[in-house]
Amino acid sequence: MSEHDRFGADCGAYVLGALEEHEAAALREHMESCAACREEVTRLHAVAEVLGLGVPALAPPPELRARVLDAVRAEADLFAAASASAPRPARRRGGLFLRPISGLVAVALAVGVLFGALVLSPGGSGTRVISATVAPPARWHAMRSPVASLRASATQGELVLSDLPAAPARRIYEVWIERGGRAYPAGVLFDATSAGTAIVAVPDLSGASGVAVTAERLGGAGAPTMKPLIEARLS
Amino acid sequence: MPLLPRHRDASSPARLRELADEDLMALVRHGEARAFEVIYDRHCGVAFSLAYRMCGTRSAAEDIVQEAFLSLWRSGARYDRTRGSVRTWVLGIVHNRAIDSLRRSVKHDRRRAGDEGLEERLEAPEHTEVDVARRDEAREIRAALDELPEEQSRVIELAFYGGYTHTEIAELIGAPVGTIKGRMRLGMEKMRRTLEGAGVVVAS
Repeated sequence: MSEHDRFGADCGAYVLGALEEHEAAALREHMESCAACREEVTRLHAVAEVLGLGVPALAPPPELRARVLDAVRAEADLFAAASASAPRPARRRGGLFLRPISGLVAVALAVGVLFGALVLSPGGSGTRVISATVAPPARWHAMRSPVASLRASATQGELVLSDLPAAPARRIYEVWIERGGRAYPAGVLFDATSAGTAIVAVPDLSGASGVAVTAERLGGAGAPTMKPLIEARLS
Repeated sequence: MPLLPRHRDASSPARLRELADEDLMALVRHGEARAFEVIYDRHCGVAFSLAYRMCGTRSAAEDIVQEAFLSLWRSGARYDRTRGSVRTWVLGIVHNRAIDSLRRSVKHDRRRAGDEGLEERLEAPEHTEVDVARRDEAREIRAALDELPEEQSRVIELAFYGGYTHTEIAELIGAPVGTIKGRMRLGMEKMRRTLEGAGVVVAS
């Protein structure tokens, strides 16, 4: 059996998504040098693409439309406000901890993280990685909970999140720094990227006992309005 | 240079509904929520129908459609019109997410009980000529699948709509893996000929 015959047999299963991942990877590699397999996969792929249409037509519930489009409009507003106000650095004023951060700063921060711009790498030998406690899927209204860890030096940190569901409609994730049994706003708002990941800089960890994340209204809240979705204990 | 070019002239709801999907996606890339609404309204029906067919419950189908459209909104920049229509792109995202969700659920415990009677209650009404044309197209595709020998249509359905891998199907059916892959390949090739003949798939 030639190499082509061996891989050719996989073409149907490949376009149906039925190969194991390592077999699919092997076929993709083979296709780089085999025009016949490439052509067969292209031909059969056109059929797989329309299989999705060959199902009984159902009407989606109207509440789903409202849910999806509310989230989209809220993000579009955030996007428009951020671009209208030009990028500006988020400045922390003294004594701001207990007050809600201002709308503009919140938007700049949120959009900064949306585009992955707020990455701050704590370096040095004192950096440790702490895995965070994450609320069960039901509280995320998702099929699974995200994976979260905190990379922390003595003074600053970085939350690294994957499989993160998008924040609920008209909400955004907010970071809290816990000191002496109280939660103070870190001044950081963020949402998941389309890949479900986020790397979120936590600017000031001095004296902190933990870092937490909740979902709050779009401008951020002055104090958490819910139990933490994510919590990393520093001490 | 402003981050977001203005498209006010094109963004009245009525004008937007006249635009082709590909032109709407250009507006979506610039954060135009109203252009996205038109895309949602055009494709949520096929997206929900496929998600429901694969997951068998209304809540799982809703979650998948919501995730798929939000990812479409956030990743609009990645849509490449040379690689297919917006509709097949949407269906591709829904299909991948539904497969992920099926494969995450406990193996073989995922056979849908189905929300009882939902299909009747939710059956989509045909409003426009476009709806009727889509219904006809769906019928052609189902007919092409039904015309296959049962052993071929079964493995294609289990793989595409059920999210099973060929090794799982071999176990379920009690046939060798090579046989299962062969049936998939033969069945898909036959469907291609039928659907090209019907003009549903364009000959390559």
